[in-house]
Amino acid sequence: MAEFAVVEPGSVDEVLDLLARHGEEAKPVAGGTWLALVLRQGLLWSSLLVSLRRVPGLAGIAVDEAGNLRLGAMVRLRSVETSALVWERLPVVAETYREVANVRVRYQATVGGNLCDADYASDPPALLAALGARVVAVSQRGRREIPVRDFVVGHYQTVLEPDELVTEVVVPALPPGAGAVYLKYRTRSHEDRPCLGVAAVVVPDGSGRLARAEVVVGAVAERPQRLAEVLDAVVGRALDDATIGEIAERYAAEIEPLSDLRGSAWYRTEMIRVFVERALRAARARAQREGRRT
Amino acid sequence: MIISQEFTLNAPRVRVWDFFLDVPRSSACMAGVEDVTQVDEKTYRGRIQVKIGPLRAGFSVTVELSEVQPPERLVLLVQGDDRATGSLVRAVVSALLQPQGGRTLVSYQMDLSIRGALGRFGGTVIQDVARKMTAQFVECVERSLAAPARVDGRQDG
Ligand SMILES: Cc1cc2nc3c(=O)[nH]c(=O)nc-3n(C[C@H](O)[C@H](O)[C@H](O)COP(=O)(O)OP(=O)(O)OC[C@H]3O[C@@H](n4cnc5c(N)ncnc54)[C@H](O)[C@@H]3O)c2cc1C
Repeated sequence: MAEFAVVEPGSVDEVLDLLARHGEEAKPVAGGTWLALVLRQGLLWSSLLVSLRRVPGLAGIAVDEAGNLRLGAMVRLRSVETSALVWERLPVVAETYREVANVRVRYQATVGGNLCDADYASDPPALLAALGARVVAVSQRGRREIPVRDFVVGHYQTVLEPDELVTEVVVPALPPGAGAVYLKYRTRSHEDRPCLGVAAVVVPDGSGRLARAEVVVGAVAERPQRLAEVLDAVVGRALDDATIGEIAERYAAEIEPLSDLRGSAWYRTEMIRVFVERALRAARARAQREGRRT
Repeated sequence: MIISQEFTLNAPRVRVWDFFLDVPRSSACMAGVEDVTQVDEKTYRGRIQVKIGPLRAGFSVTVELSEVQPPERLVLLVQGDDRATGSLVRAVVSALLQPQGGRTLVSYQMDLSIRGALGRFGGTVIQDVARKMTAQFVECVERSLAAPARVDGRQDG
């Protein structure tokens, strides 16, 4: 195992100073679950681990004036799943975090770590991308917001610069009458990572047509898959089985899945078709319930 | 894992063959390869750095030209180890070159296995990365073969 030092700064400013001075040599530590694994295997070359444990202000869950749900980077997955505020405002977010791994991992792993490890076989990123969520990243150079859908660029690779720290994730409220769902499909144990996960959001326009549809498929390629052309093409169409079937068909046809122990590329293509369809139907059913309520 | 693929290069077969057998030149097309030296008639040594996000592994690699049938068939045995992570890679690459008019159809098959930390941790990811590195290699070979030909063309004209 490589040599490394651990520091525990007491503020965001101190973290940013360390990241700016040490560049790629430094790595923030959130829950440490992913880092522990790669350090043990000698795969990580960073020599300075910057613990976020004592940094105040990163572990809040709040709703801002615009109605956005704001999840701090150090919020544990378990806290999202058990937050009354999240269940009230965006239950699909709580439902999705509840699907991750097992409760031991969820007590330890964090919202920020889950996005930043950029493992292809993750659950929350697909949902956050479908909801139009943004990652807030800060550095001594300033602050920027990055759409979750653009955040992961490759295996274990995000758009973050080495001096940037993620402080929170901002999830916009669903438009009135919209329905959102995340379906996780496991092929091995109940605690396993997904073979694939599908997040679907449908926004009806009041006359039974689609104002917008969002479908993001996770765990099938190096980054969550969103087919903008397909989604743009169905705007204004009836939200019926034919439209849903067509979206599912095109996602299955156009995504080039990878193979792993959870499923071959061929199998994943078949499952994309099945689960995109199921997710859209479930999202439509939720939208219909919402529609009756409003 | 077996990766197999076919691609066509816009150059006659002997030129493609000569390029492949010019190991310092063809290996320069593989991202992360450095310090290539010839050990004997059929054996080369070098290093390859693999970088995936914040993860890195550096392999010392030996390549043996185990079957050479000019200008048609080539089989390489690639073996590498990374001391830092205790990982081993082994790949058998066989390539078949077929003439197609003035062009060359290359069909290759790579049987890749990765053991140790890297294999345990990110076997799937490594395979996906290997597939992409191969695609980059093909692109680079295409460019390398095209470049001098264009220069010749200009000189002739
Ligand atoms: C057994 C097991 C099963 C799992 N199953 C699932 C699953 O089913 N679905 C799923 O989605 N995930 C799963 N995970 C992953 C888990 O949800 C977390 O994503 C992961 O463990 C990392 O979270 P962490 O907070 O421990 O991050 P860490 O290990 O602390 O950090 C991970 C990476 O992110 C960087 N980082 C962390 N926080 C920040 C920040 N604020 N700013 C910048 N960079 C940062 C670190 O430097 C590091 O590179 C599983 C993990 C384990 C161990």
